[in-house]
Formats: sequence, structure tokens, C-alpha cells
Amino acid sequence: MRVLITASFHEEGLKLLRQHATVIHEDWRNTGRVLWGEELLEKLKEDEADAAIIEADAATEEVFEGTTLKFIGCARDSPKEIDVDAATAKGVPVFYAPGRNADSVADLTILLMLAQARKLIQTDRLLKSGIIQIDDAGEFAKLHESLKGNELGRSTVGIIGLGQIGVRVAKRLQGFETRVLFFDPNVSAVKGKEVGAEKVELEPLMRQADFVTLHTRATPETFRMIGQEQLSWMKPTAHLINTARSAIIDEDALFEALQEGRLAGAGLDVFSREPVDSNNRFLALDNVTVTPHIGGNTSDVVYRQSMILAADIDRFLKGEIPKYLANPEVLKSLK
Amino acid sequence: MVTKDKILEVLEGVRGQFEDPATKSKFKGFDRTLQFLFTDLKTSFYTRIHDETMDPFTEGELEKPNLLVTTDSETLVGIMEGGLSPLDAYSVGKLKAKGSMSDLMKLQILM
Repeated sequence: MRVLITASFHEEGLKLLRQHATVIHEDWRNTGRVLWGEELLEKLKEDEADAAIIEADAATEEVFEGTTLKFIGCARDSPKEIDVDAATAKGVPVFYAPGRNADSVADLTILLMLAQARKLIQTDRLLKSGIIQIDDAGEFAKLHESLKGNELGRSTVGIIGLGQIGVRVAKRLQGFETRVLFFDPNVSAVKGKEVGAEKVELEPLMRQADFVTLHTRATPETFRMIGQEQLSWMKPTAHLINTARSAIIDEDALFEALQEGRLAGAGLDVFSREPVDSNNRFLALDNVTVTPHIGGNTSDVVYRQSMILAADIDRFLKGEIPKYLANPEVLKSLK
Repeated sequence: MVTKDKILEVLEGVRGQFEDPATKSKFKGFDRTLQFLFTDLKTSFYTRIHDETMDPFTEGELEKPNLLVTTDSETLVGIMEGGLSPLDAYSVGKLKAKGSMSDLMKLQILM
């Protein structure tokens, strides 16, 4: 068997897979190529691969029509870029890596909160600008006052969406002794209490929180769930953190609120226009920390996704039941 | 649902962007066919981008377009006139795209 891996993959995972197959590893971050549909099909044919693990690529219907893959893996939280129905129709098991990036995204969320609370990026920009010259105590006092921040421990954080990432954010905030509220119609108050979070409706959360952080999936139901009205509920001293998806929020309304000082600031990792570059409009705002969708961009995520997938594929190839199959029904037909 | 005439007007607006020299220059050497499939109108329109211009849209289907965007009429109008980003529409499943990632990123310039 020959497995084409275009996902970022840790050596330990590769080693496990090499026990079963010849592995062709061409990490998309090194090749700079993202293969969609027919491009992936051509690559699979060129490499005579009969299995694949992808990350940024898209396995569309034609990929399954044009190949006889033994399995396909997606190094992501969900196999969004794989046509699972087409794979199932051809009896191809689809593996994925749930929770692979939850810790990293939660880390970045806390980092953005702290950066906003302590005006970290604003301070750094100010000093690097070269305009700060302190010649007397008055100037020093003025600068010091302008950079005064807040502690997370004395703040209230509102988490919208208490799923895998939201839970991890809440757990981390327990270390700061922060008051945590959450809004999630699918999660019980009891479940929230387990991570020190109090269940409330959306409006009181938005009104009370010093930091509102978004952790829901982008779905037709959550599309622009935070609009102008919801933003108007927030305190002018509050910050909004978005490490989830831009579709959840009305980005124009957020930009206006930040520009007009109706919100103190924001920490944003996701945008309606990506990839993010230096033209991003939020970069012009000193009260915003901008990162280019790097929530899950850590070596730990690469390790975790590799081991989740390699271990599950190893189980499958040994005839055991895999843990993370998007289409477990194919196992019956394989038997 | 938006009328077919409105969609043609919106698509003509997409094409009109090639009058801007800045847009033209971004498509230097780009030669691809592009098809929009509107699920609600149950029809498609296709064009070709080449020589830094875009051909007029034609109703119908190409056998194998380089880029295929599947959406509904209201979503396209939302993108072109209502400030909806293609990425957001894609995130919530209002828009699907087929083609090379690099080409689709290029297409984002027009939307």
C-alpha cells in the first residue's frame, strides 16, 4: 500500500504508518501547494497512492470516482473538505482528528485576552514607533497612565459556545479565578459548573462580560449571531475575542464599534477575508490585536493530529474498530 | 429568490470590475473558465477570464469548467451588493466551490 500524506505529520506518526505502507510525505506547508479536487486526483495517480491523508486539500467527488482508495484521513477537527457521501458510496473509510487543535486555540484565546487586558500590542507598537521620549516625570506619569490595564482575575468573561474549545478556555480561566459566564443552548448548567462557568442567556452575557469570546461553529443558525444589536449590549470597556469563525459576527458592525470607541478593543484571529495580510483593515485600529488565523498553528497540533490519525489507521489496518471514523457504516461493507 | 435578470445584472457587475486597471493586472496570464450554478434558479451562467478580461456571461453549462461556484441567487447578491464575504458564505455552507485553491483565491478579488 502507498499512502500519500500532504498533511503536516509528525515523525512518530509516520513511523507507525510505515509499518503498514510506503509513505510519501509531502507536507503542504513545505510544497506550498494546496490540491483541490482534480489536482488531488492527479497527484494520487501520479504517486500511485491508494490511500491519503490530507489537511488543506479538498477530496471532492471526482477524487473518489477516479481512484480506489483504501482509506482517506483528514488532519482536521472535522472532515469538512472531504465529500464523505462520495467516500461512503465507494466504501472508503474517512478518518479525522477531533479535538486536535482545541488546546492551541484555547491558549491563543487566553493570550488575546491578556494582550487586550494589558494593552500589550498597543504598548509594543507605541514604543517601536520611536515617538516616545521620556524627559521628565510628568511625561512618564502620562505614559504610565495611558497604558494602565486590567487583571483577568477581576474580570468577567462570557464564553459563547461551550464545546471542546470553550470548555478549555473556561478551565484555563479557573487558574485566574475569573468569573465565567457561558451561553450555549446545547450545554446544561450542570456541565458548565464542572468548568466553573455559569449558564446565562446571550443578552446578560454580553451586558456583563468584560471579555466576550466566541467558540461556536459557523452554521446557518450561528451566522452573524453577533450583530449590531448584540454588540450594542456590550460595555464600552469590554473586549471581543474571536478565534472561531468570522461568519458568526457582523464584521462591519464590529469594525464600526471599535472605530467609534463603543467597544474597548478586540482580539481577532479570524476574518471574512483570508488569508490575512497587511491590508487587513483592523490593523489600522490600535485597540485591536490581529493574528492571521493561527489558532491551531502549533507543533503540538501537528503532533496530536498525526497521532490521532496514525493510531486510528493502525487500529483499522489491524482489523480493530477505529475511534474516529466519519462514516462507520463502511466498516460493515468492508467485512 | 432573486430574478434571473437581477443575477445577470450582478454578474455584469463582476465583469465590469475588469475595467479597473488594478483588477486587470491581477489577472495577468490567468486563463480559466468560470461557472456559477444557482441552485434556486436551477440554471447556470459561465464565462472565461483571459487576456486580463472577462467574456460576457452565457446561460448554460460547460462540460468541465475550471472553476465552479455553486450557490443560490440571494447569496450571490449578498456577496456582490450586501457586504457578505465569500469566505463567510462558504463557512456556513451557502456557497460551494470547485477548482484549484489558487484560482479560487484569485476569484476572491472579484467578490
